Amino acid sequence: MNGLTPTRTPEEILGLDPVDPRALYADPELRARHEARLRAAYLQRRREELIEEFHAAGLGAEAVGPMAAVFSHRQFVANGLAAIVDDPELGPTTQVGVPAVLRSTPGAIRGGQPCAGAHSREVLVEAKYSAAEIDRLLDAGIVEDVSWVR
Amino acid sequence: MGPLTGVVVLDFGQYLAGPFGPMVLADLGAEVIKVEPVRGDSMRMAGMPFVGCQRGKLDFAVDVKAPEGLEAVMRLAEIADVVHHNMTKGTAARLGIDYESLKARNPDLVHCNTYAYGAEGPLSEFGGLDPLYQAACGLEFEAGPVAGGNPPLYLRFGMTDTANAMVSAVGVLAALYHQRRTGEGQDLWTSLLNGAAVFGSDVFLVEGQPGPVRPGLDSNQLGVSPCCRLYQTQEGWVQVAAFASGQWAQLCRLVGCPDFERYETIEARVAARVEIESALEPIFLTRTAVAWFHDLAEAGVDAEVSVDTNDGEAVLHDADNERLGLVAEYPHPILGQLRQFGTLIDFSESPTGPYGPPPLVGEHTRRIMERLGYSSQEIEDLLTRGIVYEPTEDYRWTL
Repeated sequence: MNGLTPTRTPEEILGLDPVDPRALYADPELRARHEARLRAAYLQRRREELIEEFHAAGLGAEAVGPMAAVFSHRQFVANGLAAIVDDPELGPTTQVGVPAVLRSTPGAIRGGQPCAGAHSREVLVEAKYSAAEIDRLLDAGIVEDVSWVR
Repeated sequence: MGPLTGVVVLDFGQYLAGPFGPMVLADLGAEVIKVEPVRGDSMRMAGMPFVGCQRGKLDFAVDVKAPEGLEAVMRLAEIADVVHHNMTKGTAARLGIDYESLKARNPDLVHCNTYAYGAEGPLSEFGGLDPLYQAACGLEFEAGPVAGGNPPLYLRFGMTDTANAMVSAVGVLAALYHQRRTGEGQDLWTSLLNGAAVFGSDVFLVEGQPGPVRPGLDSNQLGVSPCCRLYQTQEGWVQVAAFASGQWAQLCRLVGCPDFERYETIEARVAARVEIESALEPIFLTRTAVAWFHDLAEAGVDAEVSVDTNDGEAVLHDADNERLGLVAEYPHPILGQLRQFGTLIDFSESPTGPYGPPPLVGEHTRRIMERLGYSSQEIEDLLTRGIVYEPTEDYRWTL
């Protein structure tokens, strides 16, 4: 579903003669010949130029690329999806951001991946354990408390 | 009587990303009212894709472009908790049902728009369909895999639509939680691009490093390592997922290759793929997939037979799935008895289901208008003038 009214057809952009979509739908041989012409025409053009022309005409088009390339996609960036997260082990990372945007209460990435036991002591304090009890659990190896520092 | 009992959702969605999220909310007990044009949702022509997104909803058919129709929608919005749609940017405002207009009538409202690209930004004016976002987010490239010399591969399941819808459902639930806690409604949005991004959740870039390092799909599209791939058998294929501790060793012993136990890490197995797989492939060919599945299970190795579901039909008639509640069945006035996936989340205190069929165009128009306080005379007048619709003897849709 396109929100814009296209101003040109793909055939116009590719320099091909106009076609009647209903005729293509009705005639498989005609459709096959047309698709062959389209494939040949696409091969004559540079991808980025084509995408620009498609977008300028209000037509959808996207480059096929590896997953990591999406972090530089201009709409992906505009959506806040290329999030910089300081990871305790890896340092600054670029990760997928928060996909649902609540305008009044937007979410946020709260930090990188936690190291095993990074918050054990903090959690136990919040759960009303005394310092002596926490030390006892740590000494017995029942709870792990690792503060991993890069 | 699911956990969302009492929550009223207005669903203006079409295609997949729009209506699927509200259907999930309906499954969880919300009262979802599909607000449908009097000429019918164009997706009804598509048949099963429409049916797959509409169960359990009520249907109010109205011409929103007529002033009286718009007023009826506004009155409906006053009793709603959520409005959900996938209109392209600016469309809702042109119709007079954008968040600001709705908020003026119901300040507590949660409003969700599932866009194609996003609410703002260089491509936000565009609509779009699933393949564009599979391309943009690398799914087609990775599924080829192009890096393995293959062309890109389109995954035909409308994945970014479904992901967009599921993200929108999460967003709506978070906004409802906030609304219940503070009394404040709000506007939220997701997009097909955002939905596609979810599939890259294990991709991240580390500053100063060339790119994500993780095992890629092989050029035969069978898997990412010898311990996680499809193996062809005497009859059919078996999917092995021997990731967990000890499973690799068990697999090696079962296939009679204990020497391969020396590849203790996934990285080592990936590095030795050619050696390992060239040994394992002929061994798997000696027995059927079902036989391998049985013995792998006995050995504690995760595996599944890669089954032909006959386009999903077999899954919906599987006795185990029925027992687990994974199959829902309900009668449809035109299509007859329908089967679809059932309960996906089990709640101990507020069980979900049973689900109703996809509604006919305007099936509940009269009931909803009566609830809004319209008199019989007013309803008849709006029906006669074609501003609202309810099914008649000359119902022209096939579902």
